Amino acid sequence: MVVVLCALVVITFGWGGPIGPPASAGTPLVAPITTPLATSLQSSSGTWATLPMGHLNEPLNTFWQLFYRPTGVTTWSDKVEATATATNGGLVLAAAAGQPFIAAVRPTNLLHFSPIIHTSDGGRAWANGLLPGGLSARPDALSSAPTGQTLAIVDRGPGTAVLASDGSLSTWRTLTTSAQLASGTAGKTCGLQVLTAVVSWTNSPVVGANCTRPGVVGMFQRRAKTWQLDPLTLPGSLAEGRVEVLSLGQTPYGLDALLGITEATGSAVVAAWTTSQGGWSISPPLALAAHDHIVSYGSASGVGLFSLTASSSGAERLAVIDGPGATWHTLPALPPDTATVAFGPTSASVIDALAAHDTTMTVWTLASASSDWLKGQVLPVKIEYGSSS
Amino acid sequence: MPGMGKGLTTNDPIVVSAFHTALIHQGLIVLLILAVAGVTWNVVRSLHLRGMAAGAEGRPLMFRSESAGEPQARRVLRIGFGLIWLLDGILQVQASMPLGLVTQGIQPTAAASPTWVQHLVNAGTTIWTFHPVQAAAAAVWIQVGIGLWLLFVPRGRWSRLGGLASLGWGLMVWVFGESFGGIFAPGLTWLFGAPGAALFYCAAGALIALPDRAWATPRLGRTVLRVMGVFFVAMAILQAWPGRGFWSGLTRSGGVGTLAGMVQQMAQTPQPHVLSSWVASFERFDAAHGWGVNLFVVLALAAIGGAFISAQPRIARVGVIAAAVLCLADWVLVEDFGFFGGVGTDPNSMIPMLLVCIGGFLAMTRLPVAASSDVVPIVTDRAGTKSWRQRLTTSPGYAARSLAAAAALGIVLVGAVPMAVATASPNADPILANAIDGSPNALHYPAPPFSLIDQHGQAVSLSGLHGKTIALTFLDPVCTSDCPIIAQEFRQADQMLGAESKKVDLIAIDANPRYLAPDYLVAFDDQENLATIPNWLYLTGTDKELARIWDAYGILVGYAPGGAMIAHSDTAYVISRDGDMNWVLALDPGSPTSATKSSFAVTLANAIKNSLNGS
Repeated sequence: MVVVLCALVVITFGWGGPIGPPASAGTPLVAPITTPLATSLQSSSGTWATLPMGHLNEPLNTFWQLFYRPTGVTTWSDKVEATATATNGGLVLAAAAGQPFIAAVRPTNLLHFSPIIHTSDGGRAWANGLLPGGLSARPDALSSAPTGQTLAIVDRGPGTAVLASDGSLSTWRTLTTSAQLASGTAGKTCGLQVLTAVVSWTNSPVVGANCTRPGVVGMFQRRAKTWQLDPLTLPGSLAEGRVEVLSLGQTPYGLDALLGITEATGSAVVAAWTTSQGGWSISPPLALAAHDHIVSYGSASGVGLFSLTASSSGAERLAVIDGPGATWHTLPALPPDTATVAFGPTSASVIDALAAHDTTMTVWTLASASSDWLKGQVLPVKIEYGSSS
Repeated sequence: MPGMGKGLTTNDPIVVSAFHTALIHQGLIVLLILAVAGVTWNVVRSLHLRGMAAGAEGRPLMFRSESAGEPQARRVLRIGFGLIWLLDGILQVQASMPLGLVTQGIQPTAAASPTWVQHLVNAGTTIWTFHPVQAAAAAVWIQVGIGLWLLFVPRGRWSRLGGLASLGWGLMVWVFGESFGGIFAPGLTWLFGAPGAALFYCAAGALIALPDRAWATPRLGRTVLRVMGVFFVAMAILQAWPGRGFWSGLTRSGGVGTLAGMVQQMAQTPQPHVLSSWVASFERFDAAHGWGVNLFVVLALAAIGGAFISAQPRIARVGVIAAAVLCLADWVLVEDFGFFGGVGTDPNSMIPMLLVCIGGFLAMTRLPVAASSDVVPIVTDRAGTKSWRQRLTTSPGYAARSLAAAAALGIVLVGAVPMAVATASPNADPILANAIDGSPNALHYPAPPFSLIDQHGQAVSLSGLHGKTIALTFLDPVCTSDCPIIAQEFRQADQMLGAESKKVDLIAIDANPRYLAPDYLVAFDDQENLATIPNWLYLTGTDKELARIWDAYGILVGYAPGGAMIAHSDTAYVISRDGDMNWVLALDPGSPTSATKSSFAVTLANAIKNSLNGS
């Protein structure tokens, strides 16, 4: 009787559970690959880079900066003031030959849509646009094409939508939504979860996604008024992994893509390029260690791609692949706090590592064939802590 | 400037001053109530003595102690909890209570509980956050009133009603103030005060409210002791359960264990040094001997529980003594008395728990004389079937009890009525806005003219708006913090104006020199759901036009470095229908809450109403 009563009391008063972290049952062995916004981009007038500065453990005291280095110049300047709004949510960049450089501000705090700024003269004069929604937190959620078309992925309700603008960056039309794509044949084949990247190719949109079906690459292209999966097949060793399209970009010859593949035992990054035959050339995988996470990725010189990863101890690794048929190679160990890297237009150019700590951005330079990063420009950034709360 | 508001501090002088003023005013009413009760008592007593002198009653009435005949257990509970309620009421006078109780006391407690508990508590505490002065003052007088009620009304229905008042208010405190005593939160333990002090207030209130016959046999005492016994045994099982951090003084990572960690926090509470040193010493002891301390607690709780469950007087007596020692030790060394730190509202759970145990024990072992002799009822109704008026004049005890209860009820109402009146309004007290940004200032000069376009591209000029009162502010359409809040305050103010809003235009002027196109204003309106407000206008123009208007209205606008939003003044003006500046309000929302937003809206609506009324 007493025992029953005791049990009742314990139940009535609520067990409340144990003190301490919850059990880890059900947690995958390998965490999914994350998509950081820090990256660099080459435009017709120079190189742009965005990275977070300030107190990175406090969202409203993390301010994303917009750095610019004109072509032929070795120093960077901060152009973030042109956004004229708080950048705590991050910046997403886009550029295309003959088109203005575009930076969209991800909404944060009480702002729910994305202001846009764009320039055609390296940031001397700016114009504005806006997205009727919050731009997704993906470095390739915004893309512009030489034709003048601009595509964007915005968060809409529980899903996302792909918008297109044909000139004015204030007027957009909806091309599709994640729900529409997921309910189509291609989407079902993929087991589409979220839209991750977008690019315009021959004036036709290509949308990257995250697929739940193992081995299926969520690369959707609009053909004959329907969305179809691009025939991109992974090599056998990666065919059981879940694939996320991390980035989509244009090269002078076609498209490039960076794919993140998560398997039960590990994760890897694979680069891909379209071939002249309409297929895809797949690179060997760049294996990531169990607790590695991606810090930045983007375009390297020419048609190359780079992947900047960090281990749980904070040690960073910069791997570069020069193009179709090449293999990943690792560059000398990076300086601490490197947030992203910026390549020159050719493989003979120097590489800049942009390292940010609190309010100071330091540029480290790796000359061609050199094995040492040399400390260069130190750029203090004035940050107004507390201004976004 | 956006994001740079100072917000409300716990001891904001404006709010504290208003709280103290309210207490003084209500205290004067309480004194008046007590004076009226005293005079009435003298009148009743005189009437009675006159009646005795005239021999109306036939036999003289003897004055006797009002508590004579009251069961000892009931008296212990009544006086004990009366004193505790009184202490709680006095603790509510602390300056931090209006603004600090919810943010520093209630919400942190609720944060550990499940979401539904948090929602319930938030719903309840909204009243407090919207009306902090009235709520804090109400808590003072309600608790003082209940305390006096229990202390000075020892017998009869009025006394039992006092018990019910204790039960009812205790339940409110337990649910909304203590988040159900944290029983749904992880880490539930007797040591930290589970299941909440107010639950024992409720238990004691329920016992005091029982009819006299319930105290006539040992049954009630046995029941109370057995319930407490089961509770102690359950708490022992919970305390013994592995994996909850109580069996170790130190964690594997070198940190302190659960109990030592809690005690460590308590030691940091502002308090006399000697007390914090005791608590810190116990923390070190527990860190070094965590397993032994927990074993002792488990065994002690189980033994006390067993003794109570036995309901054998001799064994239970030992149990009560052990419980007293354990409760007092826990009260001093773990709960740290519970009422320090500026927002301590009560002496925590150990003393109330102990009182209930003692009450149960006495109810079992010390029966009223009448019950054991079985000759006369425990409490006789001396007045028989007389009406209450006759009883008032012929029974001095009844009269005293009635007057004391009425006075106590009056004191409760002194706090409760203003609170109820305030609660009837869905809007927050404007004192919050005044505390953050100061009161609106009156102006008397012509408003600087402007001629701009609205969000739909239509031309709008100040001169064209004459005939309508204008509430004007300056908003950045891509602002991430203050401007959306100010826009919502305008929206709320418009709703508060009701039918009068037809005589008012709400106008915002773009305060961002880069985002000038109407597209941004429309996007902002959509975001803030302002497009449906017929008298809402969001104006823009060229950067030169806007710069001139900003300057004319004293609005500072500037680019901020490093990815911060545009810096601009958070100001609103109320312009009369004749085009004269009437009021200027600072609208920096600081750290906004629903209460402060509502408070700003009330302040703005009041300024608009004043302008509409020509004052």
